[in-house]
Amino acid sequence: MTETPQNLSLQNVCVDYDNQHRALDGLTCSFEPGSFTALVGPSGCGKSTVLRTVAGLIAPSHGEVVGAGDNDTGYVFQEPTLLAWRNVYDNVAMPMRFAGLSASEIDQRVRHALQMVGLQERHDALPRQLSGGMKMRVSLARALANRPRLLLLDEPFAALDEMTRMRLDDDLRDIWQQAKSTVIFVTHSITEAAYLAERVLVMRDDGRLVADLSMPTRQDDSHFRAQASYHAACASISEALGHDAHDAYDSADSRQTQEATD
Amino acid sequence: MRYLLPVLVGCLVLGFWEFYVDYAEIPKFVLPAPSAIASALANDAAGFASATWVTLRITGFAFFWALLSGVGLAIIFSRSRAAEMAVYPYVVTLQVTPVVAIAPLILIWVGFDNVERALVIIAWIVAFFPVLTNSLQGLRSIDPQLHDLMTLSRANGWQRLTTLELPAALPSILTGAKISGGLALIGAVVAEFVAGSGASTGLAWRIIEAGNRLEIASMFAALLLLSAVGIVLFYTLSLIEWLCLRRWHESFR
Repeated sequence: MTETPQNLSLQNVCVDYDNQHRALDGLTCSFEPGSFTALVGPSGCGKSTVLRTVAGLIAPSHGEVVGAGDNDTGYVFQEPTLLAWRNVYDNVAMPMRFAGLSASEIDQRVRHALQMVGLQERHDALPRQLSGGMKMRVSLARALANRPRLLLLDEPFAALDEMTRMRLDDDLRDIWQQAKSTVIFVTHSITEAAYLAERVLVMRDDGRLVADLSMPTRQDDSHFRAQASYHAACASISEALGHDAHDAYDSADSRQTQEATD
Repeated sequence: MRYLLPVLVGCLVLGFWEFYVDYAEIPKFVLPAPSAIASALANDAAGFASATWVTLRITGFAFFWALLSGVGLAIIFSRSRAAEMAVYPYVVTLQVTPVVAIAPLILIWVGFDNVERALVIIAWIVAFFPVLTNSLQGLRSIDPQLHDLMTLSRANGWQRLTTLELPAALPSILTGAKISGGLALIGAVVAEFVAGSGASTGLAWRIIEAGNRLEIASMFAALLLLSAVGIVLFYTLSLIEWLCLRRWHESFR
């Protein structure tokens, strides 16, 4: 914990599936410690592959990932991915039990993580007794409990309704500011990326990075969605995705409403 | 209502049966009255009890080994495609070959020294396949993201097995076990039939013996006990399933 944090970086990373389909093509980028980066792109462009490669679930075909810590990475999947037969507490505690932490240390960390996501009262509930948003919070708590230096989120709130999603976006920003982890957040929602991140990386269909955008620093969190700088940020992301800015912003909105009704 | 209706139907049928046998003067070596079956059962209660115990023991051991070998093989197959490719055809061969045809061989190889062991092996052959296929299917259909989670949490093989794989596959394993329990009993009866006179002392042997002597009432009594064993087995397994899954599984919602 006392070591100086090393920059996480990807150096010319390529990933081929079945030795033919190229999912990632020569990706080079670096992430500053404590930064919040969103990775945006259309479905199937290889966003998730980036996360899985950083997490070590996929070995790159070429290039390398430097500075991804052992045991120091929290991962949140698209679905809650909970053990249905274990209660909230045990689900959050599971990775730390594997790591061999003492019971009292685990207890303290689980309680703290559940408090961060606002579920301390529901520690003995089973996943089926929770709503979709609550399950996602448990999943987030599980990733946070181990106090990861690096937090990887793969479209974590995509399946939730718009209201829940906005609330979880706010909570995630709060948690990030408390936990000081390096966050990489994959999403296909332009508005979510613009709202959450300090920096947005844009990917295209062919598995290449096409833009590296800095998001405006915000003064007043609560009204950020109403500010001109937020709308400008959305427009710049749309443009990088290769759409006419106005159309893309519209389509991002309609995509969200479609998801909310799913 | 759920319990009352079937009991009512049963009483009506028994009453009619008793009355009709008496009224039509049906000979008791064709169809004995329920009262005659009950008295046959009561007259040789000790004999029937020990026969039931023999059949139950064979069934129990066969079921136990079916469960152990079925789940064990499924775990090995789910971890290694090569093992599955190598062994599975032989498992299928064993399954599709009619057990009655293999039974004499097993009796010759094993039965001379220990008849009961041969009977257990025959019943096991009948019983183990559903456990294997159901467990394998359960293990294979675990959400790949849960496996990723285990990898990211650096679970070792044992932790992955006990924390994820066995609990996740439990519903399928228990489904297989319920089918297998009934098959173990069928296997035990078939084995006793094939083993024939003197070699076995279970309920199936009582049926053959009673048939030879035209003691149809005893035959019915043994049949009744066999059904009872099957029913008890099935509901015991259903109870275990309910106890294990009711809290979290979709099927008990």
